[in-house]
Amino acid sequence: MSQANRYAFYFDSSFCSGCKACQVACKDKNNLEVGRLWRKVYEVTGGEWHQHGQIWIPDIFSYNVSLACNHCERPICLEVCPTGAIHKREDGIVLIKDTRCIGCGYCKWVCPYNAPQFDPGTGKMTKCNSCYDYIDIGKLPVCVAACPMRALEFGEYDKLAEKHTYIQGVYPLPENSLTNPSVLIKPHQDAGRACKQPARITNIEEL
Amino acid sequence: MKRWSLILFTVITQISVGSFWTAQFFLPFEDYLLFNRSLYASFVLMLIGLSFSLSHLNSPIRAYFAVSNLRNSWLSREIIFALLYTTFLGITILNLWLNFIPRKIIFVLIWTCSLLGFLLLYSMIRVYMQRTINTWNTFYTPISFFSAALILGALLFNLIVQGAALPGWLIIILLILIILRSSLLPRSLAILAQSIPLKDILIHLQPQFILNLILSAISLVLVGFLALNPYPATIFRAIALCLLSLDAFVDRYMFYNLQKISQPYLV
Repeated sequence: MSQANRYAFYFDSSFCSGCKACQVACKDKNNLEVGRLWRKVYEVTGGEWHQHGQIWIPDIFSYNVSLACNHCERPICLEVCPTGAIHKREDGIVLIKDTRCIGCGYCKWVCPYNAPQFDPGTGKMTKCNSCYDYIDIGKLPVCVAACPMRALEFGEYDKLAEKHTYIQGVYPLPENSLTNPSVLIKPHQDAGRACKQPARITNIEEL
Repeated sequence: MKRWSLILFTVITQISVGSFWTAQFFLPFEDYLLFNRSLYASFVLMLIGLSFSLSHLNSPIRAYFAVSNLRNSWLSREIIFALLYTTFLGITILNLWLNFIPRKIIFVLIWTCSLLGFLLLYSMIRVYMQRTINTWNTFYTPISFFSAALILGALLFNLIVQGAALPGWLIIILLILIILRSSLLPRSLAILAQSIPLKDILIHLQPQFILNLILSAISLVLVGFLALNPYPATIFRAIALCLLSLDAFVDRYMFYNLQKISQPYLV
């Protein structure tokens, strides 16, 4: 399976309004209960206010990052799963076979993107599956279709890479060399400031 | 509850292996009666530990699947080595009753148990030392795990084998391990502090960290006392084992919390 042929998500952070339509569409399609999110929208805020005499001037920034499972080129969840429940399709989509999963949660520990989510109803781990049932009949994942800003795209990695300028990591994501995620991100114009000024995720309670 | 199952599994397993190692190296095998106690203790501890390990799973009925990925998964290997170690301990105990193994092969059996115990601990360490969990992927992990095995295993041996005395050089090693473990923990916290504000770390870990320091200091005193008084009263040995076990549990609880708070931005 070459990098060029695998499926990937493209996310344009400069377009994302943080509406979470992608998150809601995913929850709706997959019947996810409260507390389980396969796609999460992180609201990142940073910067500070500066006082000039009697006046306070804002120097703040804010952007959103919509993130699901990145169906990594080197998925560490697949490496560590003791039952072999996690497998990777030819097209790069990483899936969990629920007939083999024992709910040990090891994949959740090691995933740097916290993609695997525990389903208390079945006692097994679940995660974004790129709506492979839709992909197999030529449709798009629901998160991509639902995005009103068209900030999300889905397709073959090399075609997305040709079409867009991108990077593979932005705060708060970890280093992409850990697992080579199949995600291309166009960073928000202020994303670089998150590395230089204090930044934090302001909606952590929602996640 | 699930986290505590793993804490109990790891610590109890380590005590079992450490106690077996201590018995193997310090008792002549001809001393059956005394060796019996160590064997039984190690075996029973493994059964208890494996029970806790099963209880951590959300689908324990399909636990047999957990050895399916020996090729890649250190968790699969850990389970296999735990089962093999327990089985070989059981065979050794059976032989003590039925005497069906030639005497010359018993030596091989004992060493096999020791090797399997080491492989079990090594696999356990590798389960946690993954490239994506920077707070676990440090020297603190193997030091913490091996020190728990050696310290608690030696103390259990010291308790159940009447008349046994831990040699001075072993006491020194145990003291060094306690100091090393306590000094490496701040390094893990420093790694955390590179990405998380220190005040957030302290909110999560300060009570356990202080308790861990106090218990480590008590551990140093108790183990040091053993160097001065090699044949302390049984009650002292029992108290020492209990307090140092508590120290190990607190240490392991903090260890698990290191992972939990290393990713505050990814909940």
